Amino acid sequence: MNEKLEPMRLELRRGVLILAVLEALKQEQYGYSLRKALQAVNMDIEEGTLYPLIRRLESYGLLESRWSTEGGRKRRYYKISAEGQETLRILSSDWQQLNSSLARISETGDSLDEERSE
Amino acid sequence: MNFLNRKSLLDRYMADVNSYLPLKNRKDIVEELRSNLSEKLADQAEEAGAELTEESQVQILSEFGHPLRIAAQYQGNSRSLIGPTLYPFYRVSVLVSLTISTAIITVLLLSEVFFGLDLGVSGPWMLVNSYIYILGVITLGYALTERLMEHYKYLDSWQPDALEQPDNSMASAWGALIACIAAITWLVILNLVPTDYTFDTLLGRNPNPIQTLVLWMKIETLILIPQFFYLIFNQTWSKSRLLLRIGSELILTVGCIIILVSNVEGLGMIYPDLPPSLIAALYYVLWGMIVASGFSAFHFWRKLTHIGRSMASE
Repeated sequence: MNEKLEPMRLELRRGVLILAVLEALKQEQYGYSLRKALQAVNMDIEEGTLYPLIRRLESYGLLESRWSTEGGRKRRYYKISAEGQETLRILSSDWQQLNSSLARISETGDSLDEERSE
Repeated sequence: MNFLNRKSLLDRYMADVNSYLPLKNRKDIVEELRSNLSEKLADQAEEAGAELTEESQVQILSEFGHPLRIAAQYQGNSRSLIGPTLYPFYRVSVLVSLTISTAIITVLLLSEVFFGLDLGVSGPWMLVNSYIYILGVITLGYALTERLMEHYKYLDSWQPDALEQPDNSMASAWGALIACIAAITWLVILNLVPTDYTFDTLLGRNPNPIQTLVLWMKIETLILIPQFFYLIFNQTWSKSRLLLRIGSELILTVGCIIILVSNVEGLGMIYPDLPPSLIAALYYVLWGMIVASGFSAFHFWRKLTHIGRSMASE
């Protein structure tokens, strides 16, 4: 069961990953700090997936970046762009719609179960 | 472990990632990855309250991922040579064609061993050659087909109401696919037989009748392949396609007749040790092919007249 479950969980998470990254980058962050921020809210994403994704989102114009050296450490900081904000708004609305659809399906299933048991 | 060792391990890792990365933005990507990894190593060391051991660093880097996998994530529109849409067809094509070619070449090899014929079969190398040709041709064919399907948006431009009525006379996509692969395999094998591409050979004036036969077979197969290929995607027989199919069958019939009336005996001169019974067998093979291709042409002719009648009644 676990062998099949794990790819499903990964696929499910991958779907909302862009949403989570855009949301988290409302505050400027560099790659590792973003990873830790996501980890802190139980979104444990492989770094090998996260870092290339940030770059891809930047190439789509959804993020802006800059290099900065602080305390002798060179870091590349990312922040959501205006286009990214608009994309995030649409994706969030889609996500909420999906969530409510899922809740309605679940409710329908529950009421059918109740009818059957009666 | 000291700082120098840690740096060295990270450097080795980054150098490896660097070698797999796309040229565009390579330096920038490496710099960013190094910065993130250094942060992580420092963070873990801080958490541990001591410098990281080499084992811990190895653990962190192995969790980060193989350099090839990391670099692959930075590739742009990465894609496979044959995608999942055509892969099942590709797999069957390769299996069918390799089986056919193995069977044919084994028969040729056995003929050489048991009948002492010199058919130009160079042992196992011919088998390897045919595998390379077949794999190359099929892979190239499928890769091109997939890209053309994408380019012309074949799977997006279909209309459900344009689907044909189910009809017993329709060819099946899988049947057409297997026929197509069998024809390609056959052509590859025919190409392994040295052939003299001249009109004299075509008209049966070549002393070796096998060369005439092979040349006519190549012509027929070359005409058949595009027909079978088209049938994979559109399984209905149109009048023009049926006429082309009949034409291909008749081409082989003509070729066999030319050999029969010209120089079957030539085989005995080319291969003096050949038993007369085998030369006689060639006669039967040629007659068999004439009957088979004639029968096949008749079968398609009947299909053609059936289509004509259906169109007239509509």
